[in-house]
Amino acid sequence: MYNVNIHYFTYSIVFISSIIAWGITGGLFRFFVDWLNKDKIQLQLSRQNLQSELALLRTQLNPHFLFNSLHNIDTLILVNPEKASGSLIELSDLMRYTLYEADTDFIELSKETDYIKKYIHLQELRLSNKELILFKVNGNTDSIKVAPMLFMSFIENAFKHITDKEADAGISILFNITDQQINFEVTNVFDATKKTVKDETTGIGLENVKRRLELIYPKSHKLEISIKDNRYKAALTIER
Amino acid sequence: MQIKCIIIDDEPLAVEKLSIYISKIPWLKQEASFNNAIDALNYLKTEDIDLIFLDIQMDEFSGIQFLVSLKAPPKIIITSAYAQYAIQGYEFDVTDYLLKPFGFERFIVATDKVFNQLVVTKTIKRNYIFIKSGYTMERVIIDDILYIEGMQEYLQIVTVKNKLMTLQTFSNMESLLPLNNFLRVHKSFIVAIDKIDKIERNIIKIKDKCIPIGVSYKERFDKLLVDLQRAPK
Repeated sequence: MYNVNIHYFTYSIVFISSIIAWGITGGLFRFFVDWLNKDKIQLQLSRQNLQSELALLRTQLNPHFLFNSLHNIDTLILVNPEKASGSLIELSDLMRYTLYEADTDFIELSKETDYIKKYIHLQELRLSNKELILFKVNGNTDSIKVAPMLFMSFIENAFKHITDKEADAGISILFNITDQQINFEVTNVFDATKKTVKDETTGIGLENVKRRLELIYPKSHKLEISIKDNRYKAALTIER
Repeated sequence: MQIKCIIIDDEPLAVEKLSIYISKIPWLKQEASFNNAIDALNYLKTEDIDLIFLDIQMDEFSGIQFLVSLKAPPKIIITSAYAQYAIQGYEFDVTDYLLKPFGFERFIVATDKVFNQLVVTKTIKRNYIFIKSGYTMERVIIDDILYIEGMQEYLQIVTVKNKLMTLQTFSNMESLLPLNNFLRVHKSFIVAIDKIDKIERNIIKIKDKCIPIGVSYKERFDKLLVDLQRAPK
């Protein structure tokens, strides 16, 4: 009788304590699940922010470039219809690229250089000096992917800030591709005493590119900006 | 009337488009074009121009800076791909603002505005013409002219004050006079419509002079007569 009572007592203790233990474990488990979920949501949120920030930072086709090009092509329709047709198709290629194709994290480098080539053609419509722009790609662009419209920001800047459009090779754009690196260099004639009026947004553009580079190539890029011998130079190296 | 204009734009195809359009307007004459505003400023120091087609976004010296440095600006039509300079344009009293890309129809609207402004100011300023008579130039107040009579190679201009002879053709004379008040009624007569005293069948009377209405001029004159019998506008 006495034994039975003791047994009864121990059983109930074991029973109660196991309920408490389960309760604690369950609580802890719940806590961890919540904590993990919260972390996941936060991660998603910050990724979304990053995505929209990147989309904002990505260079779009400049509307004034677009309208001036259309104006020039309209003149070509009168004086040189064949060239007008070619230019119009190049312009629509540029638009399609910025609207649809470049809307991705990484894109083939060959597509980027193709875009740059067409952009230069259209810029040349706007110039009387056809020797202004020097564009060269050394090395093999095959199977290399890069962030879209990254190099274009520097090229647009060069067109914006050049102070002498009559100079031969007043703007130079060079790609040098090795097994380890993409070396990109754009320079333009820059005489600080002849400040151009087109650079009302100076600084903002460059800050955007820097931010983009930090987000996309946090530890694998190097950017050097310099002004030397009346030439403004942006040199960007990206590790492959 | 000829309106003399120049083009300032740093993009060659934009200049070319304006040149083509200008050549299609008979009263517009392109005197020069510039790919920068500084050269244009120097040009304007010696040349007299009625109208400038001006691009705003140019290197070194912008269209706005150009407008600031003009002392006696002629008529201005701004051409730009940027809409945001329109407000500033109004401050400089520009005649019109052509947003690139623009076509010929829009160009005509802008140039017609200039034409109207210039013609109005010119008629307000000038109410006389100079007529060469023999070896002298005589000032003739347009409102004083009664009629003009052709006498072989000469024209006799009869005014309320006097008569003077000049060696000129009728068509040249017609181009000097305002169309709204002077009408050719005969191969040897131009009359001032508001000086007509009487019309008898095919004879116009101004003071004591009887002026015949030519057969080929009759239709136009009759149309005018219908208008003249209505209430004045």
